[in-house]
Amino acid sequence: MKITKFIVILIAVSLLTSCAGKREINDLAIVLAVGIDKGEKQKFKVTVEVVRASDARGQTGSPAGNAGDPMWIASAEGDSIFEAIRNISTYSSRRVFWAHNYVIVVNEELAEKEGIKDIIDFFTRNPELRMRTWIVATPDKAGEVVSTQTGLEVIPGEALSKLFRYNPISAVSPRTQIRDVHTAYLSESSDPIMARVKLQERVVPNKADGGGGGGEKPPGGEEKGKGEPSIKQIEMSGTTVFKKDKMVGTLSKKETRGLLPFIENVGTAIIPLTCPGKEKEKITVEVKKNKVEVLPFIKDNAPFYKINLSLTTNVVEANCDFDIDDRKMIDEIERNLEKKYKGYIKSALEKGQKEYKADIFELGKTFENKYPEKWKSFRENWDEKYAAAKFDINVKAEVQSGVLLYTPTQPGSRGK
Amino acid sequence: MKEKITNGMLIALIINMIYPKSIGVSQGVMAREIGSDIWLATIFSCVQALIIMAIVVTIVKNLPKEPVFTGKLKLFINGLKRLIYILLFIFFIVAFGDIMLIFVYHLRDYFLPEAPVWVFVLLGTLIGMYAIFHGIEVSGRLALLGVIFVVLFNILLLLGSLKQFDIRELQPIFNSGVGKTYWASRHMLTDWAAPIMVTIILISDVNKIEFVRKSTIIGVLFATGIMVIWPILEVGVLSAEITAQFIVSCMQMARNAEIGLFIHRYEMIMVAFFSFSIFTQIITTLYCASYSAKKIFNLDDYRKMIIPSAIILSGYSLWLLKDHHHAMHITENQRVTVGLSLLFIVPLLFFILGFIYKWKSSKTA
Repeated sequence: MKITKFIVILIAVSLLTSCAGKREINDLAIVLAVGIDKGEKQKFKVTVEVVRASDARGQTGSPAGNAGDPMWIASAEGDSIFEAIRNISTYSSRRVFWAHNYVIVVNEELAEKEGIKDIIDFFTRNPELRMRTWIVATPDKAGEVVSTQTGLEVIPGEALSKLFRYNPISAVSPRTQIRDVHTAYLSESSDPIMARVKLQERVVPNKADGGGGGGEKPPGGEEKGKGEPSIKQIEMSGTTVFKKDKMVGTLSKKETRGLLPFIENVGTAIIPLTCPGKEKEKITVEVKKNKVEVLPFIKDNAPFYKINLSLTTNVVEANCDFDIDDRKMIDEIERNLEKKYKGYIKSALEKGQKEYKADIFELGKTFENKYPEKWKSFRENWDEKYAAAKFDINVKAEVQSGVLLYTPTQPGSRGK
Repeated sequence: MKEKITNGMLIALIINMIYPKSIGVSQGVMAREIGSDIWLATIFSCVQALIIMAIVVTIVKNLPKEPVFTGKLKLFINGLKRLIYILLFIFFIVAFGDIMLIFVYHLRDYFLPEAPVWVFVLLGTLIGMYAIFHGIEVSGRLALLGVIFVVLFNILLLLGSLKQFDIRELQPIFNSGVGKTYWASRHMLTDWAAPIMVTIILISDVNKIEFVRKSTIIGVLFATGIMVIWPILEVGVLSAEITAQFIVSCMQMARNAEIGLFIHRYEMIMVAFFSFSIFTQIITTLYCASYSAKKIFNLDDYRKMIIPSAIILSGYSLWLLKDHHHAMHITENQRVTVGLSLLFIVPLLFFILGFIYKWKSSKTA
């Protein structure tokens, strides 16, 4: 009996060391962002942004370690994404580790010519990656995007992630994660979209060029205008539209506003409107809630959609005299907002349906849910049916409050 | 070493014997057949399992005391009993392979891709051997813990996924037709065969046998409740297409869950909870196989059959898991044929045995 126990303990001790497949943290190159471009010699060029943990602790521009940059940028080409990554490992001293990757940046030229099938496949097949990783497209070099320090963060990948985390505030790009793109790609009716980001020169007014109060020129900066220094920053810039896996076009920021209610809950979009009766003055409303209802019907053997969008808003800034008690003025603001949103939706639908012929609004799915039998005959030639679909767009806006103020902000009555 | 289990332990064992396989691999298999209707197929299978469980428990529980047989009839009865336990042993070999598939594909594919399959099979089997050496109560106690952890697992998953849930993905219901949905439920019903067969073996070890039918019904209903959440979430969060694409769809769900900003990638925590259930399955199946082997060879103690059973069961598992295609092909096809056939044949043979016992007793009286 004692011998049996001894043998069991001996086997357990030798097998339960937890050494199988171990990965020491100091052997890992922790990727925080990856950029995928079209290669010059081979199909893909993969650029990874690897964090240098010891140098990434301090404030922006003042890393705590001594080695310098808080990140290490590495890139390599390959005929497949995996090959490109393996080629990085030919000169990386550590093993590339994906589990903490924040964002995948895809170059639009690559997305247009080669498609994103390989990208979806690689990033969903790999067990290290999260399915909630952000995925974006860019007209710039993806490698440049992932290596550009932007916003307040030391690590560009983290900055990009935070850009998405707080993007409902601006509501100019969808919040696309690899799971969404994967779902849309596998769907028989819907087509994928990706948030679009681009590098934008931003003037830094408090930093003079070449010393004198401002200090040194910011990294990556370029002179613009009268010696004003500027740096490239990453900014949200609408939506990239795909037909199956190939990029077919983009939606502008305004068109994206028309798309967003179909696919996600728009948090707090800010819409500037003309003041009722005062063309030159502006009144700004913030969309607090939105609810979209897409009702499919069949008309002349083609789909017909009734789109009902209801918006709940607050007036957050008024250049003109805005009084929450003034029903007539509120009605006019509401009509203006309805007209504006109807325009956004119309232009988004127009582009998606007519120009790109891509069902990015999940209209096929909505139709299938209501008419499962009819869908069986529509699914084969859904592209044609979708192109022939007609829409009736109804927007109902409601201004609910003027936030803290009750009466208009106007000069005092002294001297009148 | 206690050889008895409480009715609560039996309930817990039923839940643990069905949960790990049914929430992921089987949902993926069904999604490949019927798409978004997998939650309906799950409910179909649970209703069928409830009926079969009630019938089986009634047959086995009411098996009359064996009368004295002589001559050819004695040989026939001994042969029939041996056949029943041979079939049960075959069933547990197949069931063990299934459990190892779950164990290996969860841990190896998602966490330790470089570790060899034999390490998982060997470790699982060794732990199972050690546990059953100390009696079936070990498995019963672990099953109680397993239930607590699978409930926690479900709560964690709900917290991390509900925000992404889209009910439109579940529509239209019965998209593939009622008949096809019902037919797809065979995969889940094969999973249900494991707790039903385990109940056949353990029924005589339950403390209060008079309440055993009630206990098994509670077990099936409770398991249905915590299980059916999964296909609903898998379709509503991932979509039927993604559920169908992956071998282990539940891991894809776990990989997708996120609570707030700071708790993501907590599938390791979820798998830790889940592992209690898997170990309960390993231990219980090994026990049932050893018990069946004891009956085949007419031995007095199942412990003598632990090592031979473990060798056969783990050998089959290693053969099954030699590659993904081989394992999944057998899981989707041959396993269903063998599992469902035995699910109906074994209770039928018990019924015939009971009928002969009753006939002989009345004749003797």
